[in-house]
Amino acid sequence: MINGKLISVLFLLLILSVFFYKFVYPVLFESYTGVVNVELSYDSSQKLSDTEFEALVHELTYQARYDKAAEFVADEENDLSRQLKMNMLMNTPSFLRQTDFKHIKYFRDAAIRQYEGPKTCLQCHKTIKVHHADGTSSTVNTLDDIVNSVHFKFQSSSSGFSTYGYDGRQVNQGRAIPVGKINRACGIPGSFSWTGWAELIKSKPSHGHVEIRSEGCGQCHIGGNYHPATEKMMPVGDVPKEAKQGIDCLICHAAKYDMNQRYVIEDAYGRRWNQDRSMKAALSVGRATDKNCLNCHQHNMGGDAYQYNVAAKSLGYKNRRLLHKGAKRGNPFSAEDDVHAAAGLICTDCHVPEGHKIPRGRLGVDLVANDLADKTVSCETCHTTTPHTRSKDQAILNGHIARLACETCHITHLQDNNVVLRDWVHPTWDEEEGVFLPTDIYLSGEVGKGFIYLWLNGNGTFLANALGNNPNQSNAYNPLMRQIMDDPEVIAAVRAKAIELKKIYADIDVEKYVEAAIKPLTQLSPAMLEKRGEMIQEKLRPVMNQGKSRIYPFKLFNAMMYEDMGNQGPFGAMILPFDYPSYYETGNAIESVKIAIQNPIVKRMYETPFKLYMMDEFMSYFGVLEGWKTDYPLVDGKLVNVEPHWMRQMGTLMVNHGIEKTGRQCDECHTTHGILDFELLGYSAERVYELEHLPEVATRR
Amino acid sequence: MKNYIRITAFLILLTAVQAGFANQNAKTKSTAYCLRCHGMETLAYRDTITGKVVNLYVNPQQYRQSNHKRLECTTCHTADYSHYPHPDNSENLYCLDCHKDDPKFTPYRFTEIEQAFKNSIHAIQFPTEFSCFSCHDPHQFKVSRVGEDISEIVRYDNEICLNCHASLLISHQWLPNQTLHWRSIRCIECHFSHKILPAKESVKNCVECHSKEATLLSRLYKYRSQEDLQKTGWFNKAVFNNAYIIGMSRNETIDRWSLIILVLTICGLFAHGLGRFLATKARSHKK
Amino acid sequence: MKQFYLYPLWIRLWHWTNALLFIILIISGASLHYGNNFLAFETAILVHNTAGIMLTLAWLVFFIGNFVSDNGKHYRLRFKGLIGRLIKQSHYYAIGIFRGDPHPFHVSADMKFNTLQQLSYIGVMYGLMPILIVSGLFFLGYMGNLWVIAITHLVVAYLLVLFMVAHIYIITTGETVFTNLRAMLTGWHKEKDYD
Repeated sequence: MINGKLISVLFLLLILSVFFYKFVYPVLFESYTGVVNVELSYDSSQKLSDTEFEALVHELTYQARYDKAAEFVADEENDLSRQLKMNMLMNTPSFLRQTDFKHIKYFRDAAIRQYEGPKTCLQCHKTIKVHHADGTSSTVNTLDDIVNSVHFKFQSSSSGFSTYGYDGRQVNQGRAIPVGKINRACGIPGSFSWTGWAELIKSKPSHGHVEIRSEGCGQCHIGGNYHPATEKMMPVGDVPKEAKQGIDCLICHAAKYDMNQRYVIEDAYGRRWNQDRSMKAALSVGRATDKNCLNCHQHNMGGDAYQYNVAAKSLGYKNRRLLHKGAKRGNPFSAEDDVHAAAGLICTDCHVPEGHKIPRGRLGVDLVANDLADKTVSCETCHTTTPHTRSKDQAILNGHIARLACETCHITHLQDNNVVLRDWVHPTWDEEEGVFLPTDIYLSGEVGKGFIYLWLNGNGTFLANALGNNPNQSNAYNPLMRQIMDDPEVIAAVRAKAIELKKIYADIDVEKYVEAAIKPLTQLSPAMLEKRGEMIQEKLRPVMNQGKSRIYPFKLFNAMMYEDMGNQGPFGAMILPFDYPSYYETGNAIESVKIAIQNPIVKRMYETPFKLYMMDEFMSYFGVLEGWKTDYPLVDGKLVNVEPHWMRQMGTLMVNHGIEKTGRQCDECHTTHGILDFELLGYSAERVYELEHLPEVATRR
Repeated sequence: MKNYIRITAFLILLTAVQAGFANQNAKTKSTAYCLRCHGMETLAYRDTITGKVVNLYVNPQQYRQSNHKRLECTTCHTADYSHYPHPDNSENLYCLDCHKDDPKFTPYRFTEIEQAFKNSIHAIQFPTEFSCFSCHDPHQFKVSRVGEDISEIVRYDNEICLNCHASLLISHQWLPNQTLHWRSIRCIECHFSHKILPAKESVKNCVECHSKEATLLSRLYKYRSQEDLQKTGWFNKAVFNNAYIIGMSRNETIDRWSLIILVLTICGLFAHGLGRFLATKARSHKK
Repeated sequence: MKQFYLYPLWIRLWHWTNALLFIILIISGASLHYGNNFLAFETAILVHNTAGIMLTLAWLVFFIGNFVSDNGKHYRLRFKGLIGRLIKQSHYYAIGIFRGDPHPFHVSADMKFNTLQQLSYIGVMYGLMPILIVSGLFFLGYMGNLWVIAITHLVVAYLLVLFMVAHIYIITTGETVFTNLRAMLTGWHKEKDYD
C-alpha cells in the first residue's frame, strides 16, 4: 500500500542521500585522499578602470598590428621602404580587421573589466556547438566538456584504448579503471602527479644566491588546483565547483598568454600553480593556435632545453620553473625543425578537435588516455597514399608505404639531448642550476642509439612497447625478448658514464652497471625470464599479429628507479616516486622516496579498497597476474623490499613530429649495416640478404 | 698436356660463367623478380598530366589464381624492364594480339567481343581512353567463375562498372527492388556485356529477364538451374543457391506435375458431375 | 422446409473478398511465374503484392473473427467416430451420390461442414494459408533463402488452386446444384425436412 507515511519517508531518504552525496561524500573523500579544495584566487586577475582598459586596448591593438605588418614586410630589404610599407598596412582597414582582437569589442560592450577565470568565459560561452567527424553536431555544456577532457582529467576510464596489458587484454575493455598520466608513474619525470604536483625547491647555484624554483606535473595542466583531478578517479563524485573555477582557459586560448605567470605559489592551504588571468591575456582570446599548444607540448616533443622552445624562455617572474634537460622525445614541432610548422600549419589542422576533446590518433604506444579513440590522425588524410610526386622514384617510394610509416623516412634524427638512459638512483650535482638532478647516462638523437625502428600495428603495451609483427607473422620478431640497443659506441659511452659515477658512488660495479643498463633482461631471474617468454608468446603474440603492421621509428628510453619488489613481474616492478624538493636539494634519493611514499594517496594505494578498486586490475595489465600486494614498503622509517633497477625493457615512445621534407635515401636502409636492422625486424636470413643487396640500389649508387 | 688442361679449365670456367649469366638472366626475367616491387600494395604514382593515381600493384595471390598465371611478366611486357628505374616505355598491349589467331581461343569468341566493344558507347564516345584493360585487369582475370557463389560473381563484375560509375542510384530509380537487383544481377545483363549501350538503348523490359526465354539464361545463370541440380542435387541447391528469378528460375518438374494434377482433377470432377447428371436423369426416368 | 441462418454477413463478405483475391492472385501470379506478358510484368508485380497483402489482412480477419465470434466452433474437430464419418462421406461422394442416396450429413446451426469439408477447410485455412502468407511476405521482403521461399510459395499456390477447383465443384453437390451457392449469398441454408 502506498500511503502518505511511506512517501514522506522516501522523500526524506532522497533528500538525505542528495545531502550525503553533495556535502558529506566530498568531505569524506578529501579526508581519505588528503586532497584540498578551496576557493582559488590569482593575483594577476585585476579589475581595470575604463581608462586603463582603453589604454590596454590601444597597446594590445597597436602591438598586434605592428607585429603582423612586420611579418608581412619581412622580405623587404630597404629599411625606409619597409617602414613606409608598414605604415601603409597599419592604416589599411581590411588589414586591421584581420589583425584586431575580436573580444575587445565584446568585453567593452559587456563592461567586463576583470578576468575571473571560467566564470567570465562562461557568461557568453555556456554551451558550445561540437562538430563531429561524421558531419553531425551537438550542443554541449562548455564546462562539462572541458572538465571531462583528458587535458583536465589526466586520465580516462572509457574503453577504446590502443594499449594492451602484458596479460593480453585490451585496457578497459572489461571492467574500466581510470588510467592515464594521473596514476602512471614514469621514469622520465621520476614521480607522479600527486607526489610531484606543485613543488618549491631551494636551489644553490655555485655562482649566485639561493633561489626558489618551481617544479611539478601541474605546470602542464590546465587545472589550477592543489592536486590533479583526483575526484575523477572515483566512479562517483565530481570535481568541486571551486576546482573547476581554477581551470586556465587562457593558456590555450589567449594569444598573449604570459608564461612568466606560470610558477608555483604557496598559500595557507598548500601549493598550486599560478596562471595568467590578466585582462591583457583575456582580451587576446581566440581559437587555440600552435603557440598555445606548444606552451606545454614542446616540453614533451622538442624538450624544455630545445633551442626554439618559446615557453622555456619565460620561466616565471618569480620561483622560476626548473627546466628538464634531457628531452622526452627530441622531435620538435617548430618552424625550424618541422616541415609542417614551417608551412604554417597548426596542431589542430591534424589533431582536429571535437569541442574540447582533441584526438591523439588511433595508433598509440606511450600515451594511454585518449579523448577520441576512434578518430584518425594520419599523414594519409592530407597526403593520400601517393604522396611522392616529384622524385623519379616516386612509384617505388609510394610502394614502401605499405610497410613503412612516413615518419620512418622523414624523421632522420632526434635532438642530441634526447635522453635514452636516466639514472634516478645516482643523482649528480648541477652547478648551473644549483640542484641535484637525475644522471642522464646516455643522450642521443641518432638512429640505432637514441631511436630505432620497430613494427607497429597501432597497439602498445602498458609500459610503452610498440606491438606489431613482421607480415610473415613468424615468431622470429620478438623485440621484448632481445637486447635492442647493441651499438658499441653506446656501450662505451655508458661505461664511461658509469666510471664517472663511481667517483661519487663508490659502490657501483661498473661492469654490472653497464650490463643492466644495456641488457635490462639480465636483471630477471631465469624463472622470471622463462615466464616472460611464455607470456609474450601466449598473451602478446596474438595482439602483435593483429591488423597490418608497419615499421615506425621509436625513441628509446629506460630509467633506473627504486622499485617495490613485492609487486614484481616479468616486465618490471612497481616503481616508487621521488619527492622533488628533497631529491633536488639533498641528492639523497632514498630519503626522497621515503618522503614521497608517505603521501596519503600512496598509502591508500597500499590498502585493500584501492587494491580491489583498481590496483589488481592495474597490476594485471602490468603483467603481474597474482594481483597487488598491499605490503607498504616503508616500515619504521626504513624501505623494505625496495631495490634500484632499470625497467626490464627499453620503453619505445612514438615520434611523429620533427618531420623533414627530404626523407631517407634507398641505400640508407638497403645496405649491410643500414639503419634498419632487418634481422631484428624478423626477416629470414635469405630475405635479409636480398633486402641488403638489391641490384637496383647498387646500380643507382 | 699442360695446355690441354688449361684449355679445359678455361672451358669449364667459361661454361660456369655462362651458366651464371643465364641464371641471372632467367632470374631477372622471372615473375617473382618483378613482384619484388610490383607486389607492393601501394606501388603507385600520380600522373602529372591527368592528376590521377596510376596503380602499378599486381596482387601476387590473385595473379597466381588468374587465367594468365602460367605466363611470365615478360611474356606480355616485352619492352626493356631490366633496369631500375625503367626507361620510359610506352607499351601498346592488346588482348587480341595473343588471342586472335590461336584456334585454342576460338570458343571464347574474342573477335566477336572485339566487334561488340567497338560498337559500345565506351569505344564510340571515348575512343582513346578505353581499352580492354579499362575494365579487365589481365593480372587477375579469370574467364569463368563457375562454381563460385553467384552473389560473389555479381559483386566482382559490378565493381568493375562501379569503379567509374559510382553514383547510379538516381538514374536507376525506376527499377523496382533496386538493391535486390544489384545484388543478384550484373550491370551488363541489361547493358550488354562488351557492347555497352547508352542508357536509352539498354534493357528496361522486365520480361526480358523474367521469362523462360530470359536473356539472363544465356549468361550469368547459364550454369545454374539444370547443371547445378544434376551435379549437386536438390538439397544442395536449396541450401546453397540463393538465386531465384521470378519467371526464369522455373522448376520444370514442379510446373509439369502440378499442371497435370490440376488437369486430371478438373477432368475427374467433370466426369463426376457428368455421372451425377446422368444418374439423376436415369433415376427420374425410372420414376 | 428447414432454415438455418448459417453465414453471418461478415463471413459472406470475407468469403467473397477471399474468392476475388484468389482469382486476382492466380492471374497475376501465373503471369509473373510464366513470364507470359498476360499482364505487364510491372503491373503484375503491383497487383500481386497489393492483393497478397489484402489476402493477409483477410486471413487475419478470419482468424480473429473465429476467436471473437462463435464461428470457430465449426472448425473444432470431433474425433469421436471421425474415421467412420469420413468413410461414410467418401462413400457418399463415390457411390451414394449417383444412387440418389440421402446426404449422410445434415447441416445444423452447430455444424455446417461435413467431416471431409471440415478437414479440408482446416488444412487450407490453418495450414496452407499461413504458409502461403508467410512465404509471400518473405518473398516481398526478400528475406531468408530465396529459392526455398519461392518454391514453397509456388507449391502451396498450386495446392490452393487445386483446392479452389475442388471447392467450386463440391458446392454443387448440395440438395440442388445451387443450394450451397445461394446459402453463401443470402446467409440462409434451406433444405427439406427429412423426418
